[in-house]
Amino acid sequence: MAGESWKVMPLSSVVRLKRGYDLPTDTRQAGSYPVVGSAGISGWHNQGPVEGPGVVVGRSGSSMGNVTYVEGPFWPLNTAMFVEDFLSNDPQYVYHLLSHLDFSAFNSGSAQQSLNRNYIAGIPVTIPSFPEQQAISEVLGALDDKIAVNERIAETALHLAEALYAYKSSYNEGWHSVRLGKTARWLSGGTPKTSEPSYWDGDIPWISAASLKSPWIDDSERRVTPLGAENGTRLTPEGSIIFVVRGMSLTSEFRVGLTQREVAFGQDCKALIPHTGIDAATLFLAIKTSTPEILGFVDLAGHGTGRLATDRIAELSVRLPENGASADDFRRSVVPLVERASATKRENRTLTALRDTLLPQLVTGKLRIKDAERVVEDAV
Amino acid sequence: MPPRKKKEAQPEDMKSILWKSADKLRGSLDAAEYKHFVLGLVFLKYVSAAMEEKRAQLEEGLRPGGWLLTDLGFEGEPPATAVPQILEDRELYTGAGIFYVPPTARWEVVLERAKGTLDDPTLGKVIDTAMETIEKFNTSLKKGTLPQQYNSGRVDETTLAGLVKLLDRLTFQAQVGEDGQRVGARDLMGEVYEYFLAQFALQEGRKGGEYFTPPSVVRLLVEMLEPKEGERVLDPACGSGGMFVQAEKFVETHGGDRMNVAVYGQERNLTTWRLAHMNLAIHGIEADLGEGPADSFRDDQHGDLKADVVLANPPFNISDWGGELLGLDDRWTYGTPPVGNANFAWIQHMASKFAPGGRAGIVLANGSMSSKLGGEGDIRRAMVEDDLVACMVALPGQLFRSTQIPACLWFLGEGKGRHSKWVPERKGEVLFIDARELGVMASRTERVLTEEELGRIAGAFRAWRGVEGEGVGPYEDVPGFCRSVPLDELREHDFVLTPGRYVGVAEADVDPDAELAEERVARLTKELFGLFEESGRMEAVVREQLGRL
Repeated sequence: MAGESWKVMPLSSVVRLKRGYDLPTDTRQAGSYPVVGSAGISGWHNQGPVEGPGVVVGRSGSSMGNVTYVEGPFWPLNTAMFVEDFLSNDPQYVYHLLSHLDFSAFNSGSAQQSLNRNYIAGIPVTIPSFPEQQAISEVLGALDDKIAVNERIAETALHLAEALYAYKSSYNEGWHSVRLGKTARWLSGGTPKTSEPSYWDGDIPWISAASLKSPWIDDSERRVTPLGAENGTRLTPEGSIIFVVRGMSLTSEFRVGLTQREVAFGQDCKALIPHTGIDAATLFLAIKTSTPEILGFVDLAGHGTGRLATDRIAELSVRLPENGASADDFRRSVVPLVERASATKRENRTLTALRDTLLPQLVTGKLRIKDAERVVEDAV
Repeated sequence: MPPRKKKEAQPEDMKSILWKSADKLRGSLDAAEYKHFVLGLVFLKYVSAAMEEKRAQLEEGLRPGGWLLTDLGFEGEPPATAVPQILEDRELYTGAGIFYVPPTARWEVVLERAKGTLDDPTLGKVIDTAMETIEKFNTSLKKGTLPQQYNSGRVDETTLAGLVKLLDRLTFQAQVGEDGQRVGARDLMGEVYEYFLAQFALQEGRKGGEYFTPPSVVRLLVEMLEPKEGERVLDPACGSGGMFVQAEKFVETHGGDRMNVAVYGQERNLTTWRLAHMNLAIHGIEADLGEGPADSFRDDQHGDLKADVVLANPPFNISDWGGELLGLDDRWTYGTPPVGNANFAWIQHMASKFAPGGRAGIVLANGSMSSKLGGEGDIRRAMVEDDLVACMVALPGQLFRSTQIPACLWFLGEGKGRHSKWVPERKGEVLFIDARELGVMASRTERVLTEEELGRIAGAFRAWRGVEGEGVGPYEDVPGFCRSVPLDELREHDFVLTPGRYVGVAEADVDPDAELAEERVARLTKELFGLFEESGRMEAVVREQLGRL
């Protein structure tokens, strides 16, 4: 429970909120100040009228209640509210606190969700002393920073692997062109009956066009049971390449990933199990770097969404190292990168879960930071 | 004195009015039906506005000493009874490219009814009658082209009256120039339609293939093909007819008589086919769009036509085009296209329509330049070897608002290097233009080719064709932009027609790919190592912070 250093007060006594300012897209000038709307940073401008650090709360639309933290001066949009005065509270703590509050109950709009500053002013919040606020910010901030740096490591490692592939594959010696269709066994997926509960909520990730967001495939929001995996879908082992062949996403991007474990997948994807002697990471990079060419094969007509004819991509010519020294060389240089990126992604999942567990405990005072408590006790 | 210029329509205004119009109909009609319902009224308002503008100009000409009096041979004032007759002389309108709207079908009549309180006839009936009358008076509009479901009772009278009053707020650009002729070549119906498509794509479930060719791409096609007075122009996948509007505009600005261009089109989708009729009527273009909406492959509406200019932006990579039902066909001169993709069926369908020396420009997905599937490689080889392909242009990305699929332009010339007047020489050569780096962002997601860039691309092609004239110098290869490539070299590359392969790289940055790849690896490696260090520090911080709990 919260101690004496924690006080209950209305939200309006913790921060003063103000509605952001209108800034039509065509009046924006290229600049270095972030334009922050309800869903976060939505662009850049040459003016930032509000000093940082800042905290912005989505006011309307589907991002209502979404909270964004910015370091420097910024431009808050009128789809959001920003903290005009932190009233001597720690800005980072305010950010965590607001992220924890559930604003959905204060929706004042009808069809379009929206938040009214006056309605939420009275929300009671429990708030600790300033030193304790800082201590909580430090703990949560350390996790956030680590998650962010990991995200960048995974991204950079992938870019580096792609750059290495582009560089090495342009050599004629030791590399050859081959039809993609001949490099792997091609599998089609499926969806187990969704009305059958014994098929779902198991341990096997089920990958679909919607869940294939990361190139390192090891999890999905939807999972099937071993029974489900045997009925209506397909399993593919670790070291397969999965890509989207049907869906809205194909009109703008080509989603492809490398499986980090055995997974099941839907009919809007294809899985490739590389033939013996072909390295999965290398083949993945060959396909990933062919994205512009592959998008040129997307069929827009007939179906409502984008579609890739399998026989077309199978004809795609890809560059692969010849078996022997060049293949081994290349594999030695990229596999550690791919593995590091994948491990980092896994680490982030744990870090995020830890952060999401700690946040509500910390901002409600259910879990206390020992040394901060001492600081407060000493001060009393 | 010319009539006073109307204020230019602000695009935002038009969009907000259209948005509100759809709001009014929600609940009465399906999202899919709004479009046609509103489009019919926009059409009526637009043609009425043009006529009113022209009429004001004619009235001016009938004042004492006016130009029209002289033209008509009156000395002094005309008899009072003649004036109304002259003002309703249909020829005076259609001759100037203005669509003639019979008195009972004008927007004013509809608006007056909408403001009134009479019960009979209903407003819906008044609108339906207006549409029917317009169709009767204009043979170019086939029966049933204009929507006539306003009196069906599905939209109540009050809502309908509100809608009419709302659409009355639409303002358009001046449509009549100082010379009394129609001005402007906006694909208005196309723009309105595209707006609805984009706005309601989610409700309707996005219909594939229905997209609007960006104006700068249409302009480029027309600038490269240079249609002339007296020629026959065909678009076998004409959509809302935007290509024709630009083609006639081109003829006119190059000193030709735009009324003397024969226009043939075909469109499979009923709504779009009707839309094309309305759009062309607005622009005073008489076109033969076939007996009805029909599929160009299975139900060719212009069987015997031999066209001088063929241009189209067919849907990209369609697989359900019914190729398996056609089998052997006279049109497949260069080989039977694969059942799974219509790209080479479109190309050959269009080539089969050529009059001697005919020419074509086609927008296709990039895959068409390199695919070897289902015999496509052989068809492409046969076409190049037969000297049919004149020029290939690779377009920049993001030109199309509704799709990110990268596209290219094919230009074909029958009798190239032999009897073609368009490309009289250049036997065994193909011009490659790489325009991928051109264009400026008009908005966050949409790229357009500038006037200058269009001139640069069309200018290179003109010079290559050997056109003599002002501002056209001798042709020269420009590394990174354009290159004329001989047949032997194309053979070496297995007839892959991707411009990037042939034009080389701009001199300013020598071999950016090779240099980039090596430098990129070095830069990313350094970045990654830096991140590892930071990550190590962060890890220590996390350990320390979690220890405080």
